[in-house]
Amino acid sequence: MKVSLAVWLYGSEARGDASPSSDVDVLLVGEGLVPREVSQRYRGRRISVSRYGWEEMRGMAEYGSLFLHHLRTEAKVLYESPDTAGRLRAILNGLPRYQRAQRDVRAFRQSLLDISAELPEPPDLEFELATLAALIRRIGILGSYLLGRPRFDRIGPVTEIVEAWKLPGVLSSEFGALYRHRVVADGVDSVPTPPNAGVLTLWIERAGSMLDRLETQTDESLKLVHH
Amino acid sequence: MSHLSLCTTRIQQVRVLASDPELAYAARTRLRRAVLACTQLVARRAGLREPRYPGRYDLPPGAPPELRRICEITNRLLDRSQSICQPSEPLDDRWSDGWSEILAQLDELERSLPGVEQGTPNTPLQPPSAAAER
Repeated sequence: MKVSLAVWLYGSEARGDASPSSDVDVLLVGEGLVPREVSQRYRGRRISVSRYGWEEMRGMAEYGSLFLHHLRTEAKVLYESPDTAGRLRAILNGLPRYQRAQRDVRAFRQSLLDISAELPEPPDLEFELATLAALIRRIGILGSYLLGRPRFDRIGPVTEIVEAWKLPGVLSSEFGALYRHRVVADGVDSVPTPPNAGVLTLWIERAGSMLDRLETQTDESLKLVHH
Repeated sequence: MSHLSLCTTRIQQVRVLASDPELAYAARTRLRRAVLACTQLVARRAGLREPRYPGRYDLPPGAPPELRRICEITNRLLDRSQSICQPSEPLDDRWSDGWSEILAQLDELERSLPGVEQGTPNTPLQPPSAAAER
């Protein structure tokens, strides 16, 4: 049976900074399963599959999906059926700028409010720390993209915005320790870091200042586009 | 606040945001909080260690059906929310289709919760799958 499928690798494995315990992020566009040669190549690793249809890909390309920008920055072809060869690359090459930054900022703001609402005694402190770490990384990803220095790895996006926005260096030097909570939550690292509500409070405040700066950056980027 | 009330509150907090696809990122986190609260409730009733993170929760054989039912729903909710927000960006079409389904499952979850609270506490069961410990 003819299978119309493109399989791409992205994430840490594609960037070359994967650890043995990292997930292998695989993108499937079209019909069909992960080809055997791909699953054999990463045997023993956890393969995390994201699946999209071609129509969805085209729809995402229209608003300059940040995920597609992510793919354009670092993804590699693993397999393409003859009828799909070059199709995804063509979509990625024609990507416009990401157009949903403002709505992301609004969602990030809501998410931060939700985490703050768990204080002073969060019932699930470890989960909130992991959630906050992921949120700050998302702030970093969007911020670094808007700055024209896109980063999609774990720590790099935060390092990038801290440097560009001249935020206190402690935000990037200590972010790795916070992100460890996220890694533990993903089950990649089984060693729990002792949770601390004070750390959560501190990082909520830090995330708030990063988000304020992101909002300003978003407005500035929009003005530039309109001019 | 009882743990059952916490579960109900968490579910309600998801509903408040679910109608706005622009807040999908926050809604999904709220959904994960709701799932975590519910699986913790199940773990308490089953005499098992409570999970620290939301994740698939599979009870061992012999677990009461009312607890299994909750786990079935929370596992489905996690799978569905992952597919409509994969890998981190919500897709508007998937969101509008997927969230009506998620809301229906939240209703079902909420209806099933009082049965868990009213049931007789179980003798401790053997631990569930490793995935639930995360």
